[in-house]
Amino acid sequence: MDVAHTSQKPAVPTPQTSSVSETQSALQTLSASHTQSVLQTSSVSQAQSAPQTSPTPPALEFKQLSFSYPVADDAEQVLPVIDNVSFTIDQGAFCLVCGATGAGKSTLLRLAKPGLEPAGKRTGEVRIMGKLARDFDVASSAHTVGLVMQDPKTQLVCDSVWHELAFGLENVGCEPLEMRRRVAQLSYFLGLEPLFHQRCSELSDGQAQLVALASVLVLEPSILLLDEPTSMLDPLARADFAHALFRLNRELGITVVLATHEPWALVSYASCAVSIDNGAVHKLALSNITTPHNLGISKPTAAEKASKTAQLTGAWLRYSRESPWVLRGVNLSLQSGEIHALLGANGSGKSSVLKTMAGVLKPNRGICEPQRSSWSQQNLRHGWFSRPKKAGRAKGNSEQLSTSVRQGQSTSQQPGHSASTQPGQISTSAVRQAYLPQHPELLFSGLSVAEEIAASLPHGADPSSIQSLIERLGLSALLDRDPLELSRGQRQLVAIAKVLAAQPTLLFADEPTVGLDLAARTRVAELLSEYAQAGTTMLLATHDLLLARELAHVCSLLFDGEIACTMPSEEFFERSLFFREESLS
Amino acid sequence: MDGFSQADASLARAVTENNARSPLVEATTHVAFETFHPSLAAVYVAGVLALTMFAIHPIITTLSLISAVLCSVVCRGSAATFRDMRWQLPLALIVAVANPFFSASGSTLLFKLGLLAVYQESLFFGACMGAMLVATLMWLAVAGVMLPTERLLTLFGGVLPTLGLMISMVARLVPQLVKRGQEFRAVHAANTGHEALATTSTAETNSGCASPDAHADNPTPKTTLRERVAYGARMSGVLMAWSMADSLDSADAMRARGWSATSKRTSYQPSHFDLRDLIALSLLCVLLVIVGLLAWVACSQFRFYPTTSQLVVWWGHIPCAAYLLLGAILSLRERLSWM
Repeated sequence: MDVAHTSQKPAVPTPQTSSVSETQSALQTLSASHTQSVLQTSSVSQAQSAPQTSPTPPALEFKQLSFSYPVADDAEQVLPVIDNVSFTIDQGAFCLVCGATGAGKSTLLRLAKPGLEPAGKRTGEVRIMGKLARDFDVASSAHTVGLVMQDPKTQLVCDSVWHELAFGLENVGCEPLEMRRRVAQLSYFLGLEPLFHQRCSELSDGQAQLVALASVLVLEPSILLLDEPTSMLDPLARADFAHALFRLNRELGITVVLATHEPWALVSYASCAVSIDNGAVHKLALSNITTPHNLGISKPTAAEKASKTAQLTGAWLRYSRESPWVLRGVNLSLQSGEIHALLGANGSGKSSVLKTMAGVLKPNRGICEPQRSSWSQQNLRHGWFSRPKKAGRAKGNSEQLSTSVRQGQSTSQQPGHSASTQPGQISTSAVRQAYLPQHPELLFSGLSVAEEIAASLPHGADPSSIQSLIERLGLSALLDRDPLELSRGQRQLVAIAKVLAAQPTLLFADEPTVGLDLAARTRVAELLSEYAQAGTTMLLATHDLLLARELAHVCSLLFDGEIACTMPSEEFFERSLFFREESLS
Repeated sequence: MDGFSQADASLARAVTENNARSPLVEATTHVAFETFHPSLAAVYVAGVLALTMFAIHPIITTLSLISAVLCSVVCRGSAATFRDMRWQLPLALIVAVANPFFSASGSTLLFKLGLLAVYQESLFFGACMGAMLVATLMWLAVAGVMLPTERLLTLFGGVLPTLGLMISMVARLVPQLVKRGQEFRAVHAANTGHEALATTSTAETNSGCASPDAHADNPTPKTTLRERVAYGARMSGVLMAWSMADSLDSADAMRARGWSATSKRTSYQPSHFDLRDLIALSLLCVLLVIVGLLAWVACSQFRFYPTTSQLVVWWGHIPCAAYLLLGAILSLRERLSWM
C-alpha cells in the first residue's frame, strides 16, 4: 500500500531527479531492475540528499498519512482515524499531541513506532530520522524509537527493577560489560539507584512509570514516544515524571512526543504542540493551551435534615502482623446526602479508609458503621470466633435488604430516590452500598458492557432507567464490547456506570476520575452531583482537586494515617497552602 | 520445601517492611558468601544438603542438625528459627516413633505391642531420620536467605537467559493473580447493590467486614456447591481475561524494547566471576570432595541393622564438621567484625 502510494506522489524524486549524489544513486540504480527497488533507491537517495537542504532530517515526518481500523465487511463506510495527515517534528523537539480520548493520539504514536503499528488500512508514509518506517527491523526500531504507554504496571515484564532495566539490552544481545555501563549511567541520571533491587510489584505507580521510561531509554533511542504516560499517576508523581522528561529533552537532546489529554500540565516544558480532531492534525500554539479552572458543575445542595449514614470511629489498620499501621485512629463520619472528599498523598491511607468504610477491610481496632450488622463489637475480636453467628444474622439481613430494595424501586425509578423519599430511615437495611475500586476491572463479571451494567440493576428496576446513564457516559457505542477489551479510560467509565446503575444510597469511590479526559471528568462529576442531589451519600478518595472543590461539601486531608483536618470544602481550599486555584489542573 | 517457602516469605516480608519504614536505610542481615559470586553459595548449599540427605550417619546427621540450627540462628534470627522448630521437632518425634511400626527389624527387643515388636535399632534409625528431616528443612530455610531468588536467577541467567526471564515473569505474575483474586471477592462483596453476585455477597458484607489479611479464610458463605462453583468460574474467567488484556500490553512493551531481535539473548550479570571467586570456589570444591569421601567411608563402616555399630571418635569427622559449620562461622564473622 505504501509503495503504491509513493509511486503516485510527485513530491518523491524519481531516480533521475535524485542524481544529486550521483555516484551513490548510480551504484544503487545498478541493482534496481524492477519498480520496487527503484522506489526504494529513490527513498534512500532522498534521505541521503536531505543533509544538503537541511542539516538534519526531522525526527518524525508524516506524509499524507491516512489510517483506518479494519471493520466487518458489511460496514458501509469507515471514518479514517487519521485522515491525510502531513506534518514533521524536528529533532530535539518536545511535542505535545493533544486531543480527546479516542481522537487517535495512540494510533498516531503507534504508526511512528515500527513493529507496533496497529492493524488496519494505511496509506502515505512515515519517516523516522529520515528513514522509512517499514525499513526498520525490531532491533533498529528499539534503538531509534522508544515507546512508553499509559499503564505503568503492565509495561513492566520482569520481577525486579534491575532485570527490567536490562531487559531491552538483553533482547538485542548487548555485551554484558556494555550493558552494565548503560544501566548504571541511566540509573544514575534518573536517580533509580534506591529502587534498583526492588521488586516491580512493590513499586508505586509513579516509580513504576519511571522504571518503564528508563527501561526504554537504556536502548538510547533518539525519539521517545509517550502515550498518556501520566494519566494514572498522582499529581506529585506526575510532576516528577514530567521533570524527568524535561531533563531528557534538554540535557540529552532526546526528541519527546507525548500524547496527553491534559496538555496544560506540560505546556511549560513543551516546544511545540499539535492537536488531533476528526482525523486531522493541526499545529497548536502553546499560548493557546490554558489550564481549565473549573469543571462547570453545580454543587448539589446538602440535605437539610442530615443524619449520620456511615461512620468510622478510632479505626486502626495494618495489613499484616509485622507491617506498620496504615491507619492510626481515623475518625470519619458521613452525613446523609453529603459528598465527602478525601485528599492526601499516595500512601497516606486514602484507599484504606475507603476500603474500611466499605467493608472490604476490617479495622484491627475501632468501629465501622453503618451498622451493617450488630457485629461491630465483635469486629474487635478476631473474625473467626464470631463467624457462625454472622452467617445466621446475615441471611436475615440480606432478606431485609432485598425487600427494602424492592419497596424502594416500586415507588420510584429515580437514581437514589428511594433514600430521599424515606428521610431519616437510613438504617442498616436501607443502605444500598456501592464501592468503586481503584482498578475498575475488579468490578467486572460480565461478557459485554451492556451485561455488565445491567447486572447491577436492582430487582424490579426498569432497564430503561440506565439508558440515560449509558448515553451520558458515552458508552452507547461500546455496549457489545467486552469491557476488558476497552481502553483504561473507557473501563473506568463502565465501572462508574455499573456502580451508579445499582442506584446506591451510599457510594464509596476510589479515584473516580483517574485516566479520564476533561470532558469525561465533567460528565462523571455532573452525574455524581445529580445522584448526590437525589440523596446518595458519597465518600470520594481523589487527587482530582477540581472535582473535590466543585463537588464536595466536606473535604478531609489524610496524613500519616490520620485525618489531619476536616472542613467544609470552601474553607478547606481557601485556607490551604497548596490546593489553590492556580495549582489546580 | 515448606520451610523453604516460609523462609522466603518471611524474608520478603522483612524486605518489604524495611522498605515501607524507610526506603533509604535498608537493614539487612549479612550472610556467608555474600561478597562472592552466587555460585559459591549455591555449591555450599548443594553440598550441605547432599551431605545431610545422603550421609545417614548418627554423627554426621547430628553435626548437620547442630550446624543448620546455628546457621539459621545467625542468618535468620533466633525467633524465626524457633518458630520453625515448633513444628519441626514434633515432626521429627513422629518420624522416630513411627519408624518401628514400618520396619520391625533390629536385634535388641525393647517391648512388644501386640504383634508388633519394637527394637532399639529401629527406634534409633527413626530418630536419625527425624534429625535428618529437621536438618534438611532447616538448611532449605537457610538456603532461601543465602541464595534469594534474585541471586539464584543471575546464576541461571548466564547459562539460560530465556529460562531466567521466564522464572522472573512467573515470579511476578503468580502473586499478582492471587492478590487480584482476593481483591475481586472483597470488592464484589462490598457492592451490596449489585445483583450479579448479590445472592452471596450481601451476606458477607452485612456480616461485618472481611479482615485485611484474611480475605481467603473468609470466603463468601454460599448455600450450594453449584453456586460456589459458578462464582469461582466467573471470578477466574474475569481474572484470566484481565490478565490476557494486560498481557497484550506487556507483549507490546516487550516488542517495543526489541524482544526477538536476535536469537542470541545476553544476560545482565549483577555480579562477576573473578579470580577471587575462582580460588574460593576451588577450595570449597576440594573441601567438599574430601568431605564427601570421608562421609562415604564413615557411612560404609556403619550399620543400623541388625545391630547398631559402635560409634567411634575419628579424625574424619573434623573436616565434615568444618564444612557444615562454615556457613554459620562465615555469617557470624560478618556480625562479629562490627562488635
